Amino acid sequence: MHDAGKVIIGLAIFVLLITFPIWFTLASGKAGHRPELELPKNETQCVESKEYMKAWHMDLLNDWRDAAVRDGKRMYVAEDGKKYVMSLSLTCLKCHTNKAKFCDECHNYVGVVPYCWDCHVDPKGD
Amino acid sequence: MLEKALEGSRRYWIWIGFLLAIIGAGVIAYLLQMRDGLAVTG
Amino acid sequence: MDESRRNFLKCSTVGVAGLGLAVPVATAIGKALTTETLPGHLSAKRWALVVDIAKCQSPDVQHACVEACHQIHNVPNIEDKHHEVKWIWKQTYTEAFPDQVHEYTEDRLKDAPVLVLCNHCERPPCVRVCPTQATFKRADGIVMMDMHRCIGCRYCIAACPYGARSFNWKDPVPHIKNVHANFPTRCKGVVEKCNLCAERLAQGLAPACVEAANRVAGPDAMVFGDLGQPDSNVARALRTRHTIRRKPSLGTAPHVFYVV
Repeated sequence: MHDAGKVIIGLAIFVLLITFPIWFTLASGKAGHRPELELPKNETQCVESKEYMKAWHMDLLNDWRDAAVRDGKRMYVAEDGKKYVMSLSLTCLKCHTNKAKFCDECHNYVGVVPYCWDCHVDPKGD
Repeated sequence: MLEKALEGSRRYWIWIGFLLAIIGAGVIAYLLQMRDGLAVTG
Repeated sequence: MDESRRNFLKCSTVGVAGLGLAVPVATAIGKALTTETLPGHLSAKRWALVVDIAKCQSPDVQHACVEACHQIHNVPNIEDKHHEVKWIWKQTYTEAFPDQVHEYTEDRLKDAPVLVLCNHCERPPCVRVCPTQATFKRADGIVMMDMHRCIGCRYCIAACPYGARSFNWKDPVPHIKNVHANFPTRCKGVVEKCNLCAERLAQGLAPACVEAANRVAGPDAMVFGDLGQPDSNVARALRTRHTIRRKPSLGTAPHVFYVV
């Protein structure tokens, strides 16, 4: 075992590398960071309940997409009977005016990259 | 094993350099197409 | 919205426990939301367009049509012909109607510029070849694309005999002068084409090219309407005037007609 020194150094480097996400987050001081959403100021009611939107907005948006594009139905009738035009840019972003402080805040946190904004336009410019 | 690859004549190193240049060109082309899409090749 | 989804929505407000149980049910059921068309939307059994070649010949008219369309649909303006994207454009009569011309075709037509666009065929080859059903034909005859599903295979480009489809070889956004927020742009790697202004019809407006042509060239330069109604303006125009279709021998049955 005359190489013990080299092996130990090697192992130490290995451990350091695979724990990179842990110590890097700790060192950057963002360990306790949680996404903070900027909620609309003038509106308290989204198209559906808060719990539903939180958990299922992606499915709702997929349904909206299919209804508008495939079936040519562009008006959504919500659970409470209110009607909304199914448009990401014009309906969602009308209240959630700041995409960076609403959509991106959570999406970045959990590391999902929805492709909505590859094409759909943020009316305020990217 | 690897040390055998690290020694050779001048001709050997020229040849390795040439091969690396080709690989490099390939990598650059790949990255360009990643960025610009199929417009690169048509 | 069907009952199961209503129930699910109610459940979901009860609490997280409700969520956990109801969720698999709701997602398994799939599409179950209540939707409507927008108030005042235009509908038809079969949309059709009649273009008057003579009235739509001047550069002013053609420019107005192309601009109107490309502006509202965020169509990029790319100089390089290889990467060009177009929804409506001009071609000479000879190019547009290769099986109508012969050595002695009259001068007024031979090199006349004609406005061409997607023909919204009755039997669209692009729809047949699309492996993902990104291109589909609506019940009212509009051949439309669902950009979310396009994988950029370009079979449709090969299949379309009219060259009505363009591929986004590169990111189109930097080539759009004023991005119109009401309509999505496209990304690199998808095919696009005229959608007969489906989004405008949904709001009760005529297609942008029709509006522009009739504004600049006077009424009936382009006639748009429902071919399914015998008394509609298009049906009347087709009955009373001599019209031709592009490449009729291919059997695609275009629904853009041209008054010669």
